[in-house]
Amino acid sequence: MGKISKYLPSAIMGTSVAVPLAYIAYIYQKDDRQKQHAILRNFPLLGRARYMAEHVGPELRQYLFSDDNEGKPFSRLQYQDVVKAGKYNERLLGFGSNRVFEEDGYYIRNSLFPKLATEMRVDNTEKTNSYKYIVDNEGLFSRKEHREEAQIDPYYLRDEDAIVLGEGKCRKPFHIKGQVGMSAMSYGALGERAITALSKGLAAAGGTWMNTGEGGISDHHLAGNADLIMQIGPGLFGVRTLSGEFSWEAFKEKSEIEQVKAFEVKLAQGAKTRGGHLEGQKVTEEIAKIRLIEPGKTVNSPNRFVDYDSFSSLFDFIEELREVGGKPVGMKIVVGDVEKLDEMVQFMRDSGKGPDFITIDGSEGGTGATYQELADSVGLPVMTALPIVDELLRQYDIRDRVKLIASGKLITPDKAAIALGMGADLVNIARGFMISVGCIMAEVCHTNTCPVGVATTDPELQTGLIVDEKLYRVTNYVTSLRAGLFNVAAAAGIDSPTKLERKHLAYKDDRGRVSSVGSMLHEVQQAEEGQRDVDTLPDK
Amino acid sequence: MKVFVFGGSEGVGEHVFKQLSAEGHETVTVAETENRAEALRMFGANNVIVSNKNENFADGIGGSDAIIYIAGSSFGAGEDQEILVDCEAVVKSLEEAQRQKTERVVYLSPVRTDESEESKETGGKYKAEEWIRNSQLIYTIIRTAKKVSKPGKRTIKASEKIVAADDEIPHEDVAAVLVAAINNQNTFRKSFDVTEGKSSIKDALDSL
Repeated sequence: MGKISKYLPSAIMGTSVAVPLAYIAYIYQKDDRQKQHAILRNFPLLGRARYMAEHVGPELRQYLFSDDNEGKPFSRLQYQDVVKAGKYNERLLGFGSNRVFEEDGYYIRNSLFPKLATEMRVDNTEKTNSYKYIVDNEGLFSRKEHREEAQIDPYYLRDEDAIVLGEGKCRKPFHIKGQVGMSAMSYGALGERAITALSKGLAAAGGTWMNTGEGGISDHHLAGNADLIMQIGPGLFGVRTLSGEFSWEAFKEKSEIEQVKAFEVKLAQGAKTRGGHLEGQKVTEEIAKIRLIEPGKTVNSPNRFVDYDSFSSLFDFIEELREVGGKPVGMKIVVGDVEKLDEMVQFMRDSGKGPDFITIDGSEGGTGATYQELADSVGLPVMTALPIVDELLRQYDIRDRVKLIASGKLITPDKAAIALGMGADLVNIARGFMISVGCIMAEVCHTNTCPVGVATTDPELQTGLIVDEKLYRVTNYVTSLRAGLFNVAAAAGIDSPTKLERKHLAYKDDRGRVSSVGSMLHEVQQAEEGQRDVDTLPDK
Repeated sequence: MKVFVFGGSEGVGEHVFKQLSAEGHETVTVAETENRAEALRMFGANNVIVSNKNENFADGIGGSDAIIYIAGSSFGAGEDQEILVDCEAVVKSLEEAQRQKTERVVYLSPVRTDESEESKETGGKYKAEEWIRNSQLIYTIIRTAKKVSKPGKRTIKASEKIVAADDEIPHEDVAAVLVAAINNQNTFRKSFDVTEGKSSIKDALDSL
């Protein structure tokens, strides 16, 4: 015993030096011999610092070094605006804006005689029961806050101002008493808890909608009894035969679900003009049942609906969907080829056919997984795309037949209001809703390892997301957005956000010059004229 | 029963219209603008007189069986923010009511249960109460704890004097007390305080 106690300290000392040294030596020679990384071959061990710093860079920037207006796709402040609206049902800020006013951008023209609260055409008859947080005390290391019940004003549109999809064109038009809803997010891309919280929260808020995404209608989408827009993508999930054909029988079944209020045929998505890819291991029994595919088998959706390659075949399909389902049918597009769109709108006028609504996804739109080249550079951003479609529809005098839904980073009331002014009737939001159920913008949606259990189906990670907690944040966020829209409308001197127009907007350039937001189409068409001149040049 | 509602704009008032109409009462009120009148009709008001200076309200009071007077909840004043009350306006309106033989009045005082003496006297907030007590009206004067926008519980505590500084009571419950008091004879010619509590509204009013 005596010997052990005598030599133990030096043995421990020796080991604690020798083991790390041996490990360092091992790493050193490993770095030195590997052939993958040049920097490690030249600077064994030291070179590793570079990889570590690169890896933690985004977190460091996000929390420590980036200023509040930096950060993409959403800055720290934009993120906080969404969180505060959901958690505290609060949009107030102190000391003034942090917007960079030197930069170019859209502004809302305020009236010298804004509307009084008593003059706004709002419907607050049915109150919404929710919960919100109140901060009691905030210190450097702790924040004391508590959650309490709240009865909030829903800020619905009046019945006469409600937006109606498919009015006079189908058996069951969809009346919507609010202008903000949830953009397409499939079950699978988001976990069951996130989808359930969204469904319940949106239902409690009312006057909104939930787009199912192309992954079909899951029980989680139905959990809260929210109004659904079922999306149909080229993969035909949920409305297909096992061999991949469109199944009218399955479609009819879906259209008979009371909560399904409309259908959306997805031609493209801003972030990915490509067919989806679903890895076999993600195709669980449940997902297979919802999507009507085989469990465990990888599915690749085509870039396009295989059977529809012309306006006439596509619109015939839409007509039949409306006829069979009795509900409004829209389509989701990304604007790129204006000439082709012109042709489409002309065809709509001449044939009397076409969708009840068009969802215009800007190229800035989000997705769980896409390729960089498609996300960054394919398609036009929403503030360019939206007015083009709006103007084309007016030009052919069929604007009253079609409602426009805009999407692409419109997560705060001012952005949504600008989109409404640019020609949208409704606004779709996806990432704002993800943030309201807990997303912290870790940007790992495609890996199934979302640290807050939102964009993952991993049951372990999802235990972090408590449905009864997050659903109220969804309710608060959407009602707060609507309240904000009324606020902007009042400032612009109109009594309802449905009346926002191009004339309520101004565009300020980086030299401080202001231009009115005029015809976008005219300029694009001129540009295309110019394009044709290049085309007439001899082949290269 | 035909009930004339004064000051039924925000908060408590909106719930008063809903609850009166749910119980089958006919309601008359005044609104500043046509747009606001439309909103009040949506809440359930049957007859809304549009007047920006309350000059036509006399026609409305005629034939009313009772009056609910919500003092202090001037439109645009935020949640629980009791603005100064024009005591003269209260008196003028109720004198008119007396002339028109409408004698039953349920008055929601702008004075809070926990209000300091100094604050009560500011702008003569409490004076209308005294005038009503000395009048020939069959009055019920109600003071409440801090009114908040929370879902109603339909349970309260009512007593002649309640001292509880941190208490609060949802708008919905205040409205329910006003509506329940109209026909409750036990509340006739009484002034009392109301706050959050465990008794049903009927029990609380019956045991005053």
